[in-house]
Order: sequence, then C-alpha cells, then structure tokens
Amino acid sequence: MITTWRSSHAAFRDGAVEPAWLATLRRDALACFEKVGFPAPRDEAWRYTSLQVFKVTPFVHQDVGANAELDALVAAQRLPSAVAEIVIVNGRIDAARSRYPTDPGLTVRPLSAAVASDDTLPQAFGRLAPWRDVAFIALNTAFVQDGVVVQVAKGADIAGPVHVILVSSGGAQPIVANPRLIVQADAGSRASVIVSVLGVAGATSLTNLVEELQVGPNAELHHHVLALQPANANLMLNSSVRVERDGRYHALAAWLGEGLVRHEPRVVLAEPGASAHLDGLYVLDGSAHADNRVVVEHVAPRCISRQTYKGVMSGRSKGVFDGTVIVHRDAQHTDASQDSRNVLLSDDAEANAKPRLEIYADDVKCAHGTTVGRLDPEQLNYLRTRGIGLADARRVLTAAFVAEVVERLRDEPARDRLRRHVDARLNKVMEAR
Amino acid sequence: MLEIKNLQASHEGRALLTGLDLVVRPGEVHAIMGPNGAGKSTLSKVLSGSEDYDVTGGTVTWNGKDLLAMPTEERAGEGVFLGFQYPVEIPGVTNDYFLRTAINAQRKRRGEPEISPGEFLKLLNAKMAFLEMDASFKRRFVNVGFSGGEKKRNEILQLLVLDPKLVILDEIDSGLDIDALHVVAKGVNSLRDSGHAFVLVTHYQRLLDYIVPDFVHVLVGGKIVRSGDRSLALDLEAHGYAADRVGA
Repeated sequence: MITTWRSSHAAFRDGAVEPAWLATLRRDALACFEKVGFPAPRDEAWRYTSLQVFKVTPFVHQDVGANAELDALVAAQRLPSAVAEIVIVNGRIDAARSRYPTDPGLTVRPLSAAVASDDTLPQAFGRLAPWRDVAFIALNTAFVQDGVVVQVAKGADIAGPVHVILVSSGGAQPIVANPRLIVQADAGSRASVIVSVLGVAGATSLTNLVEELQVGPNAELHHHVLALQPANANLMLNSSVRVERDGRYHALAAWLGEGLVRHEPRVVLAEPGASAHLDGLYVLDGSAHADNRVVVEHVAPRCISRQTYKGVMSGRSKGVFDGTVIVHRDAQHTDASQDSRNVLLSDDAEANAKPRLEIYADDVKCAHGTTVGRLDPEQLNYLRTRGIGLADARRVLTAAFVAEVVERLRDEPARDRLRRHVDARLNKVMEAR
Repeated sequence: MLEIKNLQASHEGRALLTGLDLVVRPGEVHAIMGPNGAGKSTLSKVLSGSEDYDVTGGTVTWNGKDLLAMPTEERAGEGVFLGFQYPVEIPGVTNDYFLRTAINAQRKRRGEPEISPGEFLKLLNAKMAFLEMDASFKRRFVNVGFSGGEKKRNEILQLLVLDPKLVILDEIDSGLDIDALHVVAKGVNSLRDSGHAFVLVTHYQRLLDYIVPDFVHVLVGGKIVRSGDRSLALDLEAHGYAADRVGA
C-alpha cells in the first residue's frame, strides 16, 4: 500500500509547478509517511478504529465538473451569515461556487494562490501540524492539492463566519482529498471559521483534512466542524491549535454523518492566560463511527481548558472519546476539565470514554468525568404523564442532552442549522428503533 | 366519573393496594389521608400509569373507559393529571418548550390542531401571572435548580395550562411554606367546577384548610377503611390514625 502511495505521488507531482520549499516539504513528508506508515492494528491510539479501508482501497485524486446533485448538496448547507464561503470539491477549490470576503480585516485566499505569492506561508505551512510523526498529516502534506488560508488582522472583529465547505463527489473510483486549512488570528482579533464536510451518497471517499490554527494574544477564534457525510465517506481530521497569551479558542465538533470520522485535535496552550473550550457532539446510527482523540497541552501557567463531549449512539454505531490533558511542569494554576457523556439507544451501540490526565505541575485544578447510560426512566415517565408519547419523550430528552453543546455555538444561523441537523438525525434514529 | 373497584397493586412483589374502592364524580374533591406506607402514593402512581407497579387485581374506569389498559400518555390525553410529590428535573428542556410540547401532544391525541405560538404564550403568561411566577421560569429548564415550593408551583402551572379533567395531587403540600401553600390552593380552587374531579393525597390536614374537600377517606394497609366528610380530617388531626390501624 505504501508503495502505491509513492507511485501515486510521482503521478500526482508530474508537471506541477510550485516553489522549491513546498516541493521539498512534500518529498520529506512522503518519506516520513513511508517511515511512520499507517498505524498497526495493535497501536493503542487506534484501538477503536480500523484502518483496513485505507489499506485496501485504491483512492485516487479526481476532478469534477458540473454536477446538479453536488450543487444541491452545497446550496442546502450555505450559511447566510458567512462573510466568505469557499467550496472545495475533491480537494480542489471550486471557484465558481466560492465567494471571498470584502472586509479589510479579513484575508481569505486559496492555498494555491498563497503558495505562489506569500513569503510568510513557508513559516505557517506545516508549522503546527506534526507531519513528521502522524501518518495522515504526512500524507496530507505530501499530497495537498489546495486549501484555504485565513488571516484575521490585528484587532479585527469579524461578525460572520468564514465557511469552508468540503465535498467529495460521486465517482467510479474511491476518491481521496487532502485539503488544508490554515488560520492565523492576530492579536486582539475575533473571528469564526466553520467547516462543513459533505459527500455525494453512494461513493467511497477519504477526506484527509489538516487544520493549523494559530490564536494570537488576546484573540478569540471560534471553530466549528460539522460532518454530514454519507456512509462510505470517511473523514480524517487533524486539528493543530496553538493559543497564545490570553487567547481564547472555542471549538465545536459535530458528527452527524453516516460514515467514519476520526478527529485528532491537538491544542497547545502556549502562553499564560490562554483558554480552550472543546465541545463535541455526535448522534450516530447504523454503522456510523466517530473516534475523538483529543490532546490538550498546558504548557504555560494560568490556562484553562474544558472538554465537553456528548454522544448518542444507536444501531450498531460506535462513539469514542479518548482525551488527554497534559499539564507541563511550568503550567501552575492550570484549570482543566474533561467530561464525556454518552447515551446508548440500542443494545448493539457502543460508547468508549477514556479521559486521561498527565500532570507534572503541583498547583493545578483538574477534573474528569464520564457517563455511559440509557435515558432516565423517571424523566421519560414524567413527560408521558403530561401526554407526550414515548417516542417523542425519548426525542425530547435526547435533544435536551445534546442541547447544552449546540446552544454554545456562536453564530446563530450555524446554530439553527446544527439544531436542524440534530433534530433530523434524532428523528431518523428514533424511527429506526 | 372515576370508578375504582377492588384495586390491588404491588411493587417488587410487595402488596401495596389490597382491594381499594373509590368513586369520584365530576365536581367532587376527595381527600385521601393515611399514615406513611398506607399506599397513598401507590394509588396516585397506579392511576397515572407508572410502570413501577404491577396491578394484580381490580378495575379502574374513567368515563366508562378502562384506564388500566391505557399507557401513561394516553391517560393524560383522556384528561388525567398527576401532580408529583417529587417533580422530576429535566436539564436541557425549557419549561415553555415542555408545556407547548405537552399541550400539542394532547391536542394531537384528541385530533385537534396545534396551539399557535401566540395563543400558547398568552395562555402561559396568564397562568404564570395568576400563580405569581416570575417570567424567567419560562426559559428555565424544567424543575432544575427550583426550590421545593417552586417545583410544586410549577406542577400547578402545568395543571392550569393543560386543564385536565381528573386531577390527582400526590402530597402537593409537602415541603411548602405557607405562602406557597396559598398559591397552590388558589390554583387548584380556580379549577373547581362541575367539570373537574380531584383526588388529593395528603398526610396532613393543613392542606384541607385551603382546599376544602367534599369527602375524606382514610387509607390503611392498602384499602380505604373509613370515609366521611371534612370533619373526619379534623378528627384524624386530633386523634391520629391509631384507631384505624387497629381496626384494619
């Protein structure tokens, strides 16, 4: 399989014109990928997620032309509040469907354009994401076709979100896309970035997204990823985040699709006073699979991190929360918590919750909690005594369970959209019971 | 009309109702009193359809229909309401959403159209004002962080908004201070007319000073051992349940 990637890389690179630094980086990344390889089945970090599909499926890069189904798919997910909306189909920017911002405090460019013109990009690209150590990041670095570079100027307050829509189209062959998102929020700025992951039903695909997000001093960055992919559409997502002095990072990862999601957020609270709020929610059904492997590193003192993950699993689906908080020696007065709550709606569904603390400082406040259970029979009964039928009572309670996380989303149209997808998903899950 | 005949029920194999008879006609208020463990709460819960209890004998008909054959939500649709002794907290569900969902569920069951948001808001505001509840309770999660008195007031709010025909209140007076008791009684009394029937389960006579019953029954060992009018409650207050216990 590794050799296939190499020959495919040669074909992929054939005739490409780009700066020497990127060509070198790609070559090094490919070498790292070959050295690191896909994780072995016994790898503890991959205990709950099988990589078999990536080893046997010959994924290819593929361009796509006009496609009515794809148009409808994208149109349904657009956000009226977005200040920019960039559509990436099979890893390449779809210029006709994209729209760029006019706000002077915000720069949004295709990665391909930034590569050609921006002198600072070589420093930002691959700086936060550990491409030497993580197979999928190495792969993305070697094969990246395009992506989005977002820069929020010092002190800029951008009301609407930058919306990146990733779509994998249907095709005869399984499609791979390696997009990259780079966000730099400069000092004192405030902005939102929303990523929506979609796919045309029926096709097999792998979206291997790498995100590098830099939150500058006293900046506030909201980051929301919503995955709605159909079955057989796989999402590998590596999010590397660095938060500087008094910076605030708010993330909400929502997995409401039918395929496989593996999310590895790596958040470094690098300077004093930085904070990170990581929320996750997944409503899974059928054979959907969501594996969240979260690492938060408290490097500096007086930083705050919160992880709140809520999962609802039905059918034969599986939800995994594997979260680690590392408190380094100098990170005194750290305040960290991890919370993983899960509701199982069927006998065959599975929830795995594994919070972990590694503490090397002595003056810290750290807490973690997990629950895996059924809906509360007393609450169900209470609703029924008021005339609400059993199926509706279940739906109301399940929606309430995830509401805490949904309601924290900053952008209102995005919040409405999320609520709508959660409700639709719950209706489907309840029907299937 | 509610007709209970020879009702027997158990919980985890323990017999709690052992042959209870009771008839409640529209417009009547019946108080069920009795010592701890007599089966008072069991009666309320069995009537509401709780799955924690096994009905082992007897019949309950409500307006000619077999109440025991109906699941909980259907009983509510037929106009049966239980005010809980310990109202349940539901994090994530706001009070107004809960009530609107409940009203519409009942309307749907009866083949009626949904209540419009404006109409609902008007109804809710009026009932909350009547019960001297702060408007903030609309957006608060059901019973979460409510004091004992606020929870009971919230039960009465649900009662007034849903406007059932058979009102069963399980120790609605427990944990209430005198002001809250006044408000709860005001709410209940406002529904007293020929269209509503009430079963008040209570441990103490005090509630009956505010909601004056037409009939008082003494429940001991899972059945009614004595019935009378309001004076029976005063008599029990003076002499306790000892005589009835011996008699049982």
